[in-house]
Amino acid sequence: MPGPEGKLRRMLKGSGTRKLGGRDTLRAFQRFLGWSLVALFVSLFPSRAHAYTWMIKHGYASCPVCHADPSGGELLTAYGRVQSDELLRMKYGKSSGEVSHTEPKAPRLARRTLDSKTDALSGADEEGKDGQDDAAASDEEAPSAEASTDSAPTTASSEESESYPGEFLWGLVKPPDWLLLGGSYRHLNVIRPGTEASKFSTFPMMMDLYGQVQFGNFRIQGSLGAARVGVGSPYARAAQLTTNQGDQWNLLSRSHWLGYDLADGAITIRAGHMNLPFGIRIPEHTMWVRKDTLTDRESAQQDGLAFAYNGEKLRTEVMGIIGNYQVNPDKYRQRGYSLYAEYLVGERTSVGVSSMVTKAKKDRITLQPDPLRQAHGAYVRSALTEDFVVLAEADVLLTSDHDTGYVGFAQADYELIRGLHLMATGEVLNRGYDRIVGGAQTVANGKPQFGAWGTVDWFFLPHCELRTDAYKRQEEDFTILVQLHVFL
Amino acid sequence: MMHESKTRVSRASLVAALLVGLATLGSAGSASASTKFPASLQKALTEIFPGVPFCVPLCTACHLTTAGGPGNLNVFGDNLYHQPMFPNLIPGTSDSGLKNALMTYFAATPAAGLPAAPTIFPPGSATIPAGTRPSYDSDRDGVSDYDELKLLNSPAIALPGGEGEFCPSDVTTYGCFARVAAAPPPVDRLGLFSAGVVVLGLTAFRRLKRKPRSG
Repeated sequence: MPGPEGKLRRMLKGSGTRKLGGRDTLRAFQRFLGWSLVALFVSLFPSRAHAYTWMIKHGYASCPVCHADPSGGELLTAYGRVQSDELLRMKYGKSSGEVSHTEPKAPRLARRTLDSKTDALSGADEEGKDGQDDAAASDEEAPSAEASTDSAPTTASSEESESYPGEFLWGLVKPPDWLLLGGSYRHLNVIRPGTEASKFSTFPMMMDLYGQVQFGNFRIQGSLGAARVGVGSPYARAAQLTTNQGDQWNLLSRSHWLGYDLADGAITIRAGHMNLPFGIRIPEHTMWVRKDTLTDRESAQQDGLAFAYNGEKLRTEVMGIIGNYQVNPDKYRQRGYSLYAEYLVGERTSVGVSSMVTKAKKDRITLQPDPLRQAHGAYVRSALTEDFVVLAEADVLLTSDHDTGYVGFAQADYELIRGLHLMATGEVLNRGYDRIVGGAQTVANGKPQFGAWGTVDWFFLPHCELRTDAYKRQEEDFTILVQLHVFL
Repeated sequence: MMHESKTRVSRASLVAALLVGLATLGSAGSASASTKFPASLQKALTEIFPGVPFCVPLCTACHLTTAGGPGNLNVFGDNLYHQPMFPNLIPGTSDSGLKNALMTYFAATPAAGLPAAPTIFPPGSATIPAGTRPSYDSDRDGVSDYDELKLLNSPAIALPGGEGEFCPSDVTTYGCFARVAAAPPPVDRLGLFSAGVVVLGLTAFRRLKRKPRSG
């Protein structure tokens, strides 16, 4: 282990979580806190982590490098945890060497992807002002395929037993190699200064735990969470496991599936309850482009069979939808397909197309009979510089008994300093004029509706995010969202 | 030593942040912006139309989708929105305020050019004078909103599509195997009869089998 990296590693060996001077009180408190959190989340408020699509700026166009889901989102791989700690959070002036730590092996696909990174990409990362991508770009940090592909376990594993802040529960609990655990808690505060109704509300928006068990190429993954929403709320309901229809607490599962990996992890076949493969997988579930295509990750998951491919340039997923069996009766279940295909056209730019067609006997959103819903569109993700990323998506909405509609968004993300993002987002929506309801054309119903967001997103501690959004949409009140996100 | 100190400070910050986060759980509320409005609407309509079994309506009573929320109004919701009594219709205001606003809406004579249908108002209401006169017909199907609501039809969806849609019988339910029983399951008389026939048949069969033994 030559060079400064090795020296730093040796230094860190004496300062890991489990070696804080052998102080029994502190360790006992850590353990108590850890187990309390586990118990709390399991018994009351299970939650989740999200995909950050702007990670393309670090050369990660492919999702399974860091996520267990082949199309990204939620549960992190061990390698993803390292990258999350290295690339997301604020370092408070420390150099990468000071905060470096032991490096787990990347998943097989990650290793192949890292090996396939262009020299330009690797160079850019290595020459980054903080040098924090060294872990991803250097052979020493990310073991090469020739060194370990054949003998490595399918899941990521820790080479050493030292803790680092990015581990599950900040290293307080160490799951075995075959088990991935994760979760998150999102607490949302909503402020509407101009409204005459409630100006302030605060509630836990999301509380999920995630887990994946892997034996060879076979994977079982699921989530468990809890939520309490009002009668008629469009949120959380479709993910319910328990059957309370009022404003009581309910147990949720947003995803649960069985999967089998082929071709060294490049292909994954899954069956179960999954996120729909469509568009850019952003965490903002209320953004029109996700909400009105019914493809958000809040509770729009469906049951079905999916085929995912993650190649060096191309990634795609196709899902046959058989309906959401957590929604009853059967007439409200949508059946059809959903897919996307994305191609890496440059070093840090990818373009994609999406398509979805579903049919139900009755629409649970509009309550209209025999709805045929279609959404087709294209999107782009591009890192214009190391700190500046643009995401954009535009979709056509074709719904029976509506005129042709459309939805789109464009988001610019500027990372002012590592861990502090400034975002500006514009969005537009026209669901298409509702011919059944009739009446005059209004915004989003025959006329375009526009919205604008300004966001400050601060990853202030390992796996802790504080995000503030201020948005204004036509015909809606000016709204401020303040969100604390802790992802385990 | 320096590094250890920094690590401890970082850990302490982390613990503090977690405690703050967990403390906010105590103030956790429901993740819905206007849960009071549907229930208030049910109460107000029940008082205006005694004896009509109003449900807690879905957001589609006044909005285009079950998501509800600001804007996104259907023709009925849009008509209410533009009434002078609108401040009384804001979610969270008093039930009596909502009732008075609705009664004012029903009693109002629409201005020329706005959709209206002749309506018979019965005597007995202090706010809505008895008699026959035009009243709002949001969906332009020739039946006023007043008459449609009295029959649990949607004032926003033209008949016949809106028939029974204010309180649809086939509401969406959530959760694994969720069912909402509208009433106790009826006694299946055909099933009882069939079961009786089977029992009688088995008894007769046993007797037939016993006969040869006794013989």
